[in-house]
Amino acid sequence: MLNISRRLALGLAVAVMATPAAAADNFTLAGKTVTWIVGFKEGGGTDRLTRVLQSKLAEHLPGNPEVIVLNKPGGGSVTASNDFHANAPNDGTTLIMASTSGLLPPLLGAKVARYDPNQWVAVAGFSRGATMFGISDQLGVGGSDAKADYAALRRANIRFGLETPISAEMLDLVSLNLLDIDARVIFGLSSKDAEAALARGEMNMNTDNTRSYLKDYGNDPEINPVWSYGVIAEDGSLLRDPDLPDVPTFPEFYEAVKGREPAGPGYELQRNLMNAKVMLSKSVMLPPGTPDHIRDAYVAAMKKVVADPDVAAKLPREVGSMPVNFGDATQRAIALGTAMSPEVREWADAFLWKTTTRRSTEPAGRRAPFRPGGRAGAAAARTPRGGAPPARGPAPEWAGITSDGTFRGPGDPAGGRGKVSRIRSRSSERPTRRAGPDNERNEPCWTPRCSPSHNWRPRPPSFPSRRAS
Amino acid sequence: MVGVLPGLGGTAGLALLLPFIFGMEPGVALAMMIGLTAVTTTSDTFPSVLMGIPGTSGSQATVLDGFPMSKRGEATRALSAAFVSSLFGGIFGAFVLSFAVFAAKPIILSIGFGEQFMLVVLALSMVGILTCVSIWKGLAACSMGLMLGALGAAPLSGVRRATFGSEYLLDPLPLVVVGLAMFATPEIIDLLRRGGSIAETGKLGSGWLRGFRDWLSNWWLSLRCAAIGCVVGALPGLGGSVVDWIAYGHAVQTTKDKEKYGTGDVRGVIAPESANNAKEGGALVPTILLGIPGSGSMAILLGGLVLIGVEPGVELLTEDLDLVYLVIFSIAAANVVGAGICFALSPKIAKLTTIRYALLAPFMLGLVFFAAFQATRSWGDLVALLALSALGVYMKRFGWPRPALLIGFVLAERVESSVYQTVALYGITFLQRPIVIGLLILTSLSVAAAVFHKRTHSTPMTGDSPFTNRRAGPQWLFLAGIAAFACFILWDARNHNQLTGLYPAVAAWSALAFLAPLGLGMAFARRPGPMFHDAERGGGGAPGRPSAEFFLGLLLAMLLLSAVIGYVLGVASFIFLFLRFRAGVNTAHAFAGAAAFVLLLGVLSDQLTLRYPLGLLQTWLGLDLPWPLQ
Repeated sequence: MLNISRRLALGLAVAVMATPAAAADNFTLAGKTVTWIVGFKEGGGTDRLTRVLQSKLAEHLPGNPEVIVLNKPGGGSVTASNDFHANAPNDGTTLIMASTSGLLPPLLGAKVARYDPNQWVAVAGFSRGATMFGISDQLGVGGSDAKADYAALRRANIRFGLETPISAEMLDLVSLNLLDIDARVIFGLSSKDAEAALARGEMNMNTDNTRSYLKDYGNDPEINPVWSYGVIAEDGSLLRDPDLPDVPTFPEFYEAVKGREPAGPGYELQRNLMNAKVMLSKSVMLPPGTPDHIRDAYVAAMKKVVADPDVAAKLPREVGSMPVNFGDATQRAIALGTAMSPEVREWADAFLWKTTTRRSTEPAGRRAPFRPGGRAGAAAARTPRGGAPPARGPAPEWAGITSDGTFRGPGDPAGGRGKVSRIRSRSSERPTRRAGPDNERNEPCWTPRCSPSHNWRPRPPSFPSRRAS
Repeated sequence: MVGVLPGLGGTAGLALLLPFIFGMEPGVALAMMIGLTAVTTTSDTFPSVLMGIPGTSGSQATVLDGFPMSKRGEATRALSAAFVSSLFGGIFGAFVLSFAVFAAKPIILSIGFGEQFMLVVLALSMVGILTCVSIWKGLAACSMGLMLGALGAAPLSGVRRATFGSEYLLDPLPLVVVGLAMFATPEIIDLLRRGGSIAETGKLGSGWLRGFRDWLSNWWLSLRCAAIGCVVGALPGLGGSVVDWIAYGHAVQTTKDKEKYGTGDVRGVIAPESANNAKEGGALVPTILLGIPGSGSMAILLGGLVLIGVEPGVELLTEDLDLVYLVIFSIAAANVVGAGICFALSPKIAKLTTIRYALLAPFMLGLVFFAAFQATRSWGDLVALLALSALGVYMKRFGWPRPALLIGFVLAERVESSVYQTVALYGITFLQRPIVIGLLILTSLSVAAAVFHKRTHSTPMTGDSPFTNRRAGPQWLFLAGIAAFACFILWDARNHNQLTGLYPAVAAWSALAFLAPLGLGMAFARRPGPMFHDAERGGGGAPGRPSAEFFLGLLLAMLLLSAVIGYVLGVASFIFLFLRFRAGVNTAHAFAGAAAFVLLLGVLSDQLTLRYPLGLLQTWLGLDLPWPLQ
């Protein structure tokens, strides 16, 4: 009896141990079609990288399936990601090429993003270095002495163009803010617009991935990097960008000019964003719940793809020379890049809110505050939706939290939620608007340097002519 | 060839090529890519002229005069003039490019935010000349376009405005969908109601030489428009989509007898076609010089260049000059070959206009929906097309200028961001810049041309004409609908901060401001006048014909059917039922027609890796249909 049960147990144990290995051996995609979803139009950076890898992936996957690239543009890949999260079969026939812009909405708690990249099963992550650079004769930065650069930047009239505050460039905005560098930020410029504006000298500071920077300005003595965002090594430490070995990383720059290591929720956010932008510039993911043996097969195939001489020759042109991370390492980076503690979330909300409301397009003194609908007073006194109590105290007429909750003000009652992945239903929960200033009062200082100019209130932007004189 | 199918255009064609160019000789790959982009602006003339479907966004203005010419039975003449103009424009573009790559850099770099802003204003001023008899309707239609452009993600903050809770409207409405809804569906429905074939006489006039002579006698116009195309394509700020409208507006402004425009004037074909081919050469200037793409297809081209190992940028000029000349030569050669092929094909294709339209219409509608679906490949495209088509149908009926709406829509995002960027960076001082002053003078000239242009109308405005003031109820309803939409935009805007909400609020207020005089004019008018227009009155709507609502209902039914059994089967059944019962074709032929369309969709889905929208049948019951039917 005992013998039998022991044998049975032993057999079971053997079976249990054997199953994954056997399954991995048996796993084949022969005759199947693997759909590789790209949430952008054909011809973009994400699409290009996918197509570089596409044919080789088919060669190295077990069973040599047909691999097709399916472009599903919309909402900066949010639409495709929502669909992928909810509907993709986890049998290894569907995978997605995620990019930074698909990771940011869930990171920042946008309601439109009904997916959690943490639940996705990571195959590989392509990191791509990024750097901040400026025009030397306008800003006085030389790129060699951090302290001198910093002093010059504090004095300079920085003009920095980016697309929207919730794009990958939020990393640069947060970094500038941590350093108390006051930049005039001009929105609505795509990366090519910003590049063109830098070429015209209308903008004098820009950010780009390291490879593009080196290609465009590597030999240009007039345009110099100020800091890079570095790369995170296997042991979790931050190293310098291998393509810019002489340029300090952001924390190095911070320590050199401030005399202390960066810390606090703002820096936490900076690290979250750095993980999302640099380490997970592009990532290959399988749907939630994909079994380990399928993932292992994909990781093994992807390792071979990246080592393939054809691909290896093209990769530097697409992503630069940073090492590709695989499997668990990618999963870790996603966890780091998309998990945010409540206080960091609050800091981020407040920061975004300030960024979008502080700068008015015209000097506030010349013009009455913006009053859409012409009934600003009524709007301010209105009870926020969802039955929440009205905002206490004198709310500004146009305190602006977005209507769809793309990001929320610091006083949002729902803002304290700890999980990134929380998926909010459309009807039951709507963010309270116009609650920002209350929290502002409770937490009078949430920037490293508490000064009137860093307050949330709009102030007249200074104009180039005035600054110059 | 890609351009013949509406909605695909050069962008999709380039994307189609991308997988193949790996491992190709860079020169060959480059020539193929350039050839493809350059030729689509020639071949997209077919759907624009023959069917009234704007093939790509570059040929929207061609529809205005090209399609009426087809209706008059002058399809051959229109096509011939269009191809000669395209050929000329393309070669002119290549010619300019070969010089511009050496000299244009300082010019391109002098176009800052202020200049871009003035370029947008100049383009907007074209609205004035493109409006019909009522200036208020034109301005209100333009504001309507500006408001439609405000839906979806705001360009400055990324915040989503007025999405109606729909995931589709996370992004702004696609231009292709708006263009098709404004021109394609209203025209198809109009033709269906009229019966007969596209060419009203049922005959296809010969007009090859005539088209060529038309171009010869307008060579100066063609040259100016080609130059406009080059400049707009090369300069930042406007983008390629408005080139054809600017050229068209320019043609109208600079000719004396303007009345024929919009009713089939060959100059209205020559101008946009010269410009949109020249644009490609112009757009290559910043692409090659600065590595900054000048248009959407150039962005893909840039991607392709990187893929084959060519680094665009100034080094190209110093290190790979032969490659630059290869590019220029490819453009010129592609234009010659493309125009040649189009010439050879057009007698056959032009015969389409003599076929009874009821036989053609279901395929056209299937194609239009297919084209719209290419925009984002989601159900939203089809729904948006239907909704905007209804708007287009009524705008046509009530005499609202649809080009004005389209110009407003195309420029909406540029208006928003360039105003903000200019003011934020320069304040009022941008007016001191010399190029801005020059553009300001051009704009005033353009506005003056619109103001002093006497709007005469060929038919008198009597109680029997469409301008009658009696039974204006439907017009009031339409007016109220637009006003309600503006109010909704206003209501939505107040939920946003200044960065997001200012623009839609301004657009909505301007719409209301232009609607007010129109409404007042209608309320106090005792006589027929330009503010009234209803094509159903005054002989337009003969009794016994099915109404436009009937056909809109058919389209709705087709979408509902597709929602149940999937797009492919839905469209197939629609074609079958339409052919069988409206066109009176026998069952076997109707079935063959539907099957052929399904096969076409199947081949396209295979080649382009498309997934058509699924219905309840597939998602709910989990039915997995075999290849061409899914």
